Amino acid sequence: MGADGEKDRQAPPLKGRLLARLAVLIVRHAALVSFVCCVAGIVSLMLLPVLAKSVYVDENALLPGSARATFSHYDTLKAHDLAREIQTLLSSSTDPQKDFRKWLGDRLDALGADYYFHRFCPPTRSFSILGFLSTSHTYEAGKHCLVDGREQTPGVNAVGILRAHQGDGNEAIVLVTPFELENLTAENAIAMGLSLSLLDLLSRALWLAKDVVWVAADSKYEKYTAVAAWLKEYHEPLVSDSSFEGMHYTQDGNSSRDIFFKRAGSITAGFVLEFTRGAGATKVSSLEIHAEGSNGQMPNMDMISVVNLLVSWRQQFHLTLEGVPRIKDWQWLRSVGYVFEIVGKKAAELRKAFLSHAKASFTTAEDYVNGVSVLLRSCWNQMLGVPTGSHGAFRDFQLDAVTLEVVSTDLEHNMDFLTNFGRLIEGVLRSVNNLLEKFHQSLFLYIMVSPNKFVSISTYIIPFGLLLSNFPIQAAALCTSVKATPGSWTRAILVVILVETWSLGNAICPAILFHLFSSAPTRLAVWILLSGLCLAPVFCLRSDAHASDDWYVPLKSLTLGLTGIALGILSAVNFSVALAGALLLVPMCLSAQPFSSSWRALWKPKSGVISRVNAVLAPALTCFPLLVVLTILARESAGEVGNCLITVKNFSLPSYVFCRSRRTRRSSTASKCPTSIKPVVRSPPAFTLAAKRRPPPNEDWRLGPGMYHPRLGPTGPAFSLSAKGTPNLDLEKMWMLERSRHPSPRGNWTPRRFLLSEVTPGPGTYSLPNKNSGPAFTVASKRTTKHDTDAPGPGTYFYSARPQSPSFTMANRFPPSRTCNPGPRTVYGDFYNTPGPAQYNPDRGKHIAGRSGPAFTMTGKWHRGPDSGLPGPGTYFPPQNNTFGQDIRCQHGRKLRSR
Amino acid sequence: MVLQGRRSLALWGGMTLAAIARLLLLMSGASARLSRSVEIATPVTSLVRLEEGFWLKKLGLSPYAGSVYHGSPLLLEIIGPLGANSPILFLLSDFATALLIILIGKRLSAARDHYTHWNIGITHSMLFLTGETLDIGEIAALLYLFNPFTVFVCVGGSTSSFESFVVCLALYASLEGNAPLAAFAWVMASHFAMYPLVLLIPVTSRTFDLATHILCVFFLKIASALCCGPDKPRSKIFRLKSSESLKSSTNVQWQKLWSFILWSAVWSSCVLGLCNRILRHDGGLGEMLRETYGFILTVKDLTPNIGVYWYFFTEVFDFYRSFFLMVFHGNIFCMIAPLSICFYHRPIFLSFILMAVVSTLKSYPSVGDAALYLGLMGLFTHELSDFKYAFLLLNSYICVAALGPVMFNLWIWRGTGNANFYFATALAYAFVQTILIVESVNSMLRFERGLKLTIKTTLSSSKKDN
Repeated sequence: MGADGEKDRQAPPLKGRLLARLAVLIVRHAALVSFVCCVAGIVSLMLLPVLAKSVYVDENALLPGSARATFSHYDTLKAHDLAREIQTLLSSSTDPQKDFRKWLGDRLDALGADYYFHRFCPPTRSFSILGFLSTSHTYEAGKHCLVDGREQTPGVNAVGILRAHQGDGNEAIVLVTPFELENLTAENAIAMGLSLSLLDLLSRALWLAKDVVWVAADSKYEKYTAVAAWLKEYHEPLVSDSSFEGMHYTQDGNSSRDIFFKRAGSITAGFVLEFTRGAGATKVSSLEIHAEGSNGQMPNMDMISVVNLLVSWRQQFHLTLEGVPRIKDWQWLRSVGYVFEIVGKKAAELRKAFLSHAKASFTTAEDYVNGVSVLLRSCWNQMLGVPTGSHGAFRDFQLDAVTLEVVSTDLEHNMDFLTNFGRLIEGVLRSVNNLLEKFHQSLFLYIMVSPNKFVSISTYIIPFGLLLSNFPIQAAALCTSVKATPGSWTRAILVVILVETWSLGNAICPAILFHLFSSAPTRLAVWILLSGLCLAPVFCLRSDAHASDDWYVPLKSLTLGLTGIALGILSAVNFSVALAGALLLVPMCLSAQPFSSSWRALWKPKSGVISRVNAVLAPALTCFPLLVVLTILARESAGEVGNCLITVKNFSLPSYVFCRSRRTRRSSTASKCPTSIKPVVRSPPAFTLAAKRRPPPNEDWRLGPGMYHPRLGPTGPAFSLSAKGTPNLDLEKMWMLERSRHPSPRGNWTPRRFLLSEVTPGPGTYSLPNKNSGPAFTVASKRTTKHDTDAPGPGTYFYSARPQSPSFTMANRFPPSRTCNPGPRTVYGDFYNTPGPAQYNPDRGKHIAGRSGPAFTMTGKWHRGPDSGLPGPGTYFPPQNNTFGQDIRCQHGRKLRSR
Repeated sequence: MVLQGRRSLALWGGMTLAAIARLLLLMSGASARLSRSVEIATPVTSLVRLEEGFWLKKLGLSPYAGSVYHGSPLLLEIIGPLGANSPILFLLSDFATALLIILIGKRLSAARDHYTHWNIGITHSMLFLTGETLDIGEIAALLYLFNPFTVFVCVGGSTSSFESFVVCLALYASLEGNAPLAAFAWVMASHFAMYPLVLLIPVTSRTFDLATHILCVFFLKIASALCCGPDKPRSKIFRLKSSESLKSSTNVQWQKLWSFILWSAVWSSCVLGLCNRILRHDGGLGEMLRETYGFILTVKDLTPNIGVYWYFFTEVFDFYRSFFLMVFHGNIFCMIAPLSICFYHRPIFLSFILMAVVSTLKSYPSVGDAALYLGLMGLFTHELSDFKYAFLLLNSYICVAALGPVMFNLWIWRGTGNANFYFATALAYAFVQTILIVESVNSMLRFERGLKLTIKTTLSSSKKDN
């Protein structure tokens, strides 16, 4: 970059086609272009709250607010009564656990709900080197849990299932109420009371078409863990002996059916209700929505927009999103907001002048500052990758959920508020109840700005793209500026591979440290130390020619290319991390150059202004991110800063450019900055590219609802082309994927020794023996055939294996006919060569029958019956253009295909 | 001496490092994760399916029952009993491939020296870059071993590394002039994966003068690397300087071709007989061909992969299916003739290009195919020295390789993406490969043009001197 000024003057005139000329022009003025891109990127980032769109309900079937809510003051009173009952029960009882469970069971029984208690333990982490590639948590509960080396009682979720009057039991909506029995607050009790009262209402509701599952999540070990454990058991039943132990364990006092896990179809959506006491003396009650799941995943935006629509429609309370409060005091941000406000006003006036019907709207400074605060908090939550509540557990199973948190100071006396909240929940449930297919419409990639504004990916990708475009431009400029010798590229590639491997090791470090050290500060210290050591080999790489550019240019352009790719791909996974990475890395990568040459540029009398500025700015800019990171680290508590594996990897990318160009010790501190992020402290593993919701590995994988489809042949489109199938299909997809990847276990599927009539049978009633590498794909081969008996067992009559057997079936004569009525595409395998339904071609019949019957009749066909006035058989002609008939056929076909 | 020491250090150190990297990955249990990835294990090469087929076979059923296994019965007998230890076999086959590539490189550089130095009478330094420590074969071998694609395929339970070995064996044997071995390896490779069938022409590529025998290319006189030896400049160039000594080197050794054909017949009948024996209780050869070649040709399995078939054939109407199958497969076979005419004198380069074409257009591609041709590309570091877009291509390969799993994850596991996301990556991959092929062919043609020009000028200057 430094020599740009000189080069411009002696550059040859542009030649070639327009596109090539444009490219050459951009490359020649790379410094200017990338400066403009940076500035434009940052300005458009600041503009994001202004550019936000209003939320809308995308899925028409939701029909929010189309019916009148029936939740009344009477129900609120009931909720209060229940809450009081709980509190008196807990204060008077000697064994609160047991009594509370009994009370809850009786309550649910009275509502006509199925109920059971689900016991779980917080996950124990087992050590594996590449743990983040294959770990799956188990929440299996024995008599006791081992938490941090101590024995503790397992958590117990109470679950009630309200079977819908009109439903077929295939779909369910989940309501979650976290509670903590040990120190039950008044708010918590009211939340329980309200949920029970809502359930009471729903048990009487005639419109209910989906089952409602209420989970009282025992948040003894974090709210997230409780819900995650329940969801995991729901989808991947646990089959082991300890469940029998568990049964004996809770048999005291309760009937044994309380422990059986019951299910209700595939989950459509989940809502988590939380009540917390507001800070301060403000009497205003408000409702907060939390939506960020693990790894920055967001639920379907309709979840938020339905709540927002219902709230704003009734105008009864205040919907807020969590923000960063400190930001509101920043005067400079406010003044930026004023600038945008003034510009916005002018633009609105102009638009009004030219387009008479245009709505003149602009963002006020206050809105702007609030928007920035919410946006930043949202980005921060996404970046940490730690779910903001128990709704995060749903997202791990591809389900959508939000937390609705009521913040209030005196709920006991705020009847109206509670009633309105109850109505809101009822309305939301009713909307979801209206859904006909899987929740898929709407957006998944967005950031909220305010409860009724969001920034979608199409908007926020623009500033990010502008920032990112610096990398290829600079790389191209570097590549063309210096004619590198071939050897230098090989060296550069080697160095990059080496450093990448080191940074990968560095990134895996936290996963290993997690098991070796227990306390967070030790982990942090050891990690920082190791990160420092990791950079040591990079320092050892000495370059042959310090002064010339030929070792430095390929290295830098490779690094730029890699960093650009990494950030671009990361933006598809977790945008916030990618954005933060881009903001940190763009100045670092662009200004990085050998100190020697930049110092020379500073002192050389002839060098241009840009190179001089650059020489000063480079060290300053590279130190800046370090300072930012350090300040953030200093301010935030140890538990908060999380797991940014890939970020860390990215951070360590550019560092070696400095390391190699080091002349002073100063740069060595700069190169450490990227790695000084805190180690993983909280639960979910960092940003692995692997699936979050991951069927467990080989030895203990289990079945879940919809997973027990016996057809395992992998032929045919096992993947629907969109994510739009029914949830059952999706599960099957996973199941088939999983199944096809694991050499499966032989075996006998031994039935569980349960009284099946007592339980929702569920797929989990069959257990699968472990550790085997038999085939996974056929139904036929599941049982081991004994060859010593003469009688062929089931599965031995594979027809092509017995060519001598009578072969007068249609299957052997003809390949599946495809000319007429093409059957499902799935039946190609030999095993399925028998014609499926709708594959029968009457024309072929005569070949089989040996052309026996006459093909033409002389007599006329019987046409109409006698005029009795009543229709006889065959008189009914369905209209030819009946779409109904086509529909049926169509659906039939699809069903077959999805087998 | 120092140079020699550094060279062997680089080679053997590199090989050890590659082995260590593979063993580390194997021990860390990455194979369970990798074998699930659609980029690595295809329905034809997946080791999991092979185990499945082996299990069925042990039960007395046909290994092809249930449309699970689609490989060769021989592989079943070789790899099946190994069970969980089979990655070791793949590791060994990776290193055997690397050794073969080194040997191929030795032959190529020897031939290059021969033609440039001794025969045509121009000095080495005029044409080629000098001063590197490693031989081209060694560079190519290290490239092959350190390619992440190769490593992942080796660790991730896919039989492609075995197939690469057989293909390299065929190329090497044909360069050595060993007709029986070449025939054996070619038959085995085609038996395992079908697509190496297209390597018939490179393996047996001719050195005849093109103009006089243009028709024969297609029909009869498919002479061979067997007959003519390794890559060399066009024979037209030799004619510029009509030296008697060159006549011998451009001659076709016909008996080698015949012996190749004979041996191919012998070996293929052996292989088919063996397969028939293995499958004698179950469907015999007919079923085997249906389930291997037939399966590859009819694209029955539409599991997503990095190829371009699956998306199209899930969408296409059934009655157009066979037509489009022909169109898609025809693409590969259309390429063979023009490329063979263009590069008949450079069998190894031709096979590199053909392998890249096959990898782009085959029905169940995996990154293992890319691993092989990218490795072979290292053999042409001199010829392709003015390769354009190298930096761009490098970055695109990295980008596509990382984007594929991410898009798959978004689609299948997170549910926030859809099939188009993944197919876009597959298209990008095909595009990148196409650029690689086109640019390789272009720079090879440029190289030949330069060669011709150099020889002409040397000749005219020497005439002037005379």
